[in-house]
Amino acid sequence: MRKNKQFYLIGILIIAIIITLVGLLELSAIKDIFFWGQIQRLILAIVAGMLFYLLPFKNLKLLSYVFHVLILILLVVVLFSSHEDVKRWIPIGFFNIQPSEFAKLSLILVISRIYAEREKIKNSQVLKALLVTMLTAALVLIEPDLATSVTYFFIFFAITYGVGAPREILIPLILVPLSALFSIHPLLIVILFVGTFVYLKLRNFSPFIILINLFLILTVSLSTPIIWKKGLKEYQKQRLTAFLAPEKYKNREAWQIYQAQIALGSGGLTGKGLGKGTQKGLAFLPAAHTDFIFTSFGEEFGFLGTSFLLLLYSLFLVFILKLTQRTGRYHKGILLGIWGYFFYHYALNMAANVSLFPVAGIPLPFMTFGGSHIIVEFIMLSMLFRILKEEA
Amino acid sequence: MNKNKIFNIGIWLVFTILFLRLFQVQILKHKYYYELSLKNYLKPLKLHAPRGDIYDRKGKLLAHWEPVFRVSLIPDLIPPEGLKKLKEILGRLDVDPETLKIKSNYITIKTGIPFHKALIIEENYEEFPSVVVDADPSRVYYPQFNYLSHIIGYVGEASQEEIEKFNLSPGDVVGKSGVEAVYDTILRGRDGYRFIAMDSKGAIVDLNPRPPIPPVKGKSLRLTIDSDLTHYIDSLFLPYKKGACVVYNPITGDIYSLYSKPYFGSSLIKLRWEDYLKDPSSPLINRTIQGLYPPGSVFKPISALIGLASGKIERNTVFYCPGSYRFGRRVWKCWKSSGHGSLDLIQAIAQSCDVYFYQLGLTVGLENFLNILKDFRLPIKTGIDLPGEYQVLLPDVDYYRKKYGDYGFTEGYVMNLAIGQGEVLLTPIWIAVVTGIIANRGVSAIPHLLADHNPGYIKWDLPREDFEIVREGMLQVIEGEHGTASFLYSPQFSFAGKTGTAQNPHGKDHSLFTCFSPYDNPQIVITVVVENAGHGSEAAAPIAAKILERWYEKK
Repeated sequence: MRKNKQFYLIGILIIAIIITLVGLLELSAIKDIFFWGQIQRLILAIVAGMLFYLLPFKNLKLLSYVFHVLILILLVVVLFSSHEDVKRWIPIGFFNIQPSEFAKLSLILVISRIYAEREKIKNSQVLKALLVTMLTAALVLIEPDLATSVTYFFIFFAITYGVGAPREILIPLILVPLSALFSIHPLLIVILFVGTFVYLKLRNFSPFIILINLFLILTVSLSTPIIWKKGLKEYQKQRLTAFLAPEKYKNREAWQIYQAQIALGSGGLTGKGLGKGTQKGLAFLPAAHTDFIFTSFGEEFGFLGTSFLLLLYSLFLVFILKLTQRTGRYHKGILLGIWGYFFYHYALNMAANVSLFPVAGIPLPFMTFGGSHIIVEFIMLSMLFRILKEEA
Repeated sequence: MNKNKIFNIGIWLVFTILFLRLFQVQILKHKYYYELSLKNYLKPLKLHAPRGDIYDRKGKLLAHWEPVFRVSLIPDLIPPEGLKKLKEILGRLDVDPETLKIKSNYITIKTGIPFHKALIIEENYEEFPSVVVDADPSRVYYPQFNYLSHIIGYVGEASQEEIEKFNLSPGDVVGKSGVEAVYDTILRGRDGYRFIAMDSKGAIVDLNPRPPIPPVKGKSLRLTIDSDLTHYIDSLFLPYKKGACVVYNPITGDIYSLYSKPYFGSSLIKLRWEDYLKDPSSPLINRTIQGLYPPGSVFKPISALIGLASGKIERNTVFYCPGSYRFGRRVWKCWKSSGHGSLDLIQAIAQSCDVYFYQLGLTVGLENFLNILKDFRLPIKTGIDLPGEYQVLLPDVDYYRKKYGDYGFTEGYVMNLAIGQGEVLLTPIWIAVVTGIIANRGVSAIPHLLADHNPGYIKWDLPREDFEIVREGMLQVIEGEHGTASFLYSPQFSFAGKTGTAQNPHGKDHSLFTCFSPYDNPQIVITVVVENAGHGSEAAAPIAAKILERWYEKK
């Protein structure tokens, strides 16, 4: 088993290195300044990863609350550190740190620790983890950064479900996002309502629990449209409407999506060659080094390039899942959190790149230009090694 | 284990969707997006195609093209220290240096620059890559062929209406009149493009990002026109100010000459447009197809055919002409006051006796006369391949009722009609075609200017004998002892014709003559109108005879 895991771990490392190099290659084709900037950040990330490797999880477990509280303080600080509309970064010297990225890491540690407290997971533990997640998400939502705050919930779900939390608490937790999503059409709500009722009845849940869950569906699905109307910022709505009909809405957001499609589609099977992407090179493709680095790569390396990346990403995710087999609850929680992080990031970023989802500002792991997420990702990578080492 | 399976399913589900989507965008819709990506950064600049040449029937070049140079400026590429010298050079081209301040990425500074001045720019290209010279094809007409301007026409910048109609873009050149307009789509050719690459902010990044699509020159046209013959006709018209002449082959429809005086110059049209418009002699009007003349006696062959068709007049029908004819309270004069004596139909045509045709008309009767004319179903246009041909006026009963009221006209009107005065108005080209029909006993080709092309025939369904009678009458105009144009008899060739004098309320009568030759197997029809030149035999007929003479000489 350990040998297998070593194999997967090596695979993960090789994939991470390849993806990082591809990212660097693409950044070098966009602008030298991004390439060298990313090199600096990578060095920082590798050093941070190595330091974390030296830290035993025993200590991390003790420190996880302190660590997360520190991050939460930073999340408050960030709200006062900038006068711009979107408050996400704290400037420190040569780059800006984004506390909300680090919060993903500390949240994984905290939640894993909570679930490691008892032999059998109780509902109170789940609620505690949920509370921490909500607090973190709330702070990030103020920035505002909807997509990132949703990341926390996704990580929370991945861990909670993966470590085997009781079903009666999982069901309402899953019903909340589903009801919100299904509120776009009354028929979908009806289906969800009836489906939930039948499922709970078959599973012999008590009438009280059934009632609570059905009430939850109604409350969430009815209040979602109101929140959508009042709660979302104008730019968030624009992103959504632009996503729904990019060729119709000629605003800036729609233009971005439209141009991304042109860049990606014009790449064809084999692409235009490194540095020869006209849409990226002539600045028609916006955010080529951040949100749309995948598209930028796709224009120059074509469908062969993008499907190769897709294969690497999926193997990367499958391999991480393999590591979760036969591990302790605490380690398992961390592994699941890391898996959730990468899954969410890959899925959302690429979905935005192929315009299956609104542009959400989610970085592509190991590739998007930026310091904070790269550091977090390398720390996660080193944690995988540490976990294997400690299990030996 | 069970939970990992669900996570794995999640991975495969999401990645399969992403994979399929990538396949759709990058493979299935690749072409669509690729085209859009080109549109994003490649700006096409039109390269106008030269128009096809126009030749006469003998291959003489009538209209050609030559490059005219256009100087454009790409401000992005101007080195700051070079601006001063650039302004100096622009000064030598008579261009206001202030032009440079306009914000655009490709400024046309001046068009229509001659070759030697364009060379100034070309010589300095290494130093000033920001100033570029392009060649636009420009139509060239030759002033020595000005007498063909009505046929050739001219080109001009497309109007808003033409842009919509022909799907053009502003600045495109289009045929405005004459053959240039009729065969515009053939002559126009296919415009090409060269490209410049621009970034998203509109700055030029590459002047030659992909090979240009070269323009394709329009197809050249060969006309049926004989420019030498027309030149000769022009010289015959020297003594006269206004007139028209049609020379055409009734078998093939080839128009050898279509001459209208006064004429304009295709090459001068832009320069002298206002003068041409104001000129009281209307040089812009093509009199061969737009001049409506009362035909006078030239109409008599048609009156004769009406008489024959009515069954009331025969070849041998004799009327007596004492020099005048009394009808009602009025005395109607013959052109020959001494009178023609007793005449049959053939002699009446030959001597153009008015009194004979008064009686012919009265015998047929006005309503009958008009109805037969209507039944002939003669076309009101010949269908010549030129724009703006006027309809001729052939009155019918309704026309008279409308004009004079139900009872406002009397039987006497038929007398005027029978000698070609009054309500009839004809164009020279129409007279020529009807002459061709009579000459060929019922059929003549539609006249056309495009060589090697047969647009069809115009038929007139009457008994062959009727045409033979009228033909004979027209032959006697020349060969008969008392024929109105017998002085033009030539032993070298046979021809038949009809003189005409159209009364002109504004001045001296118009002189008309139409004829065909040779008599037995007619190959050529000539119709001549000379405005304000008196009798048909005086001006028009001699011109036609000279044309025939030359025609046989050259043959």
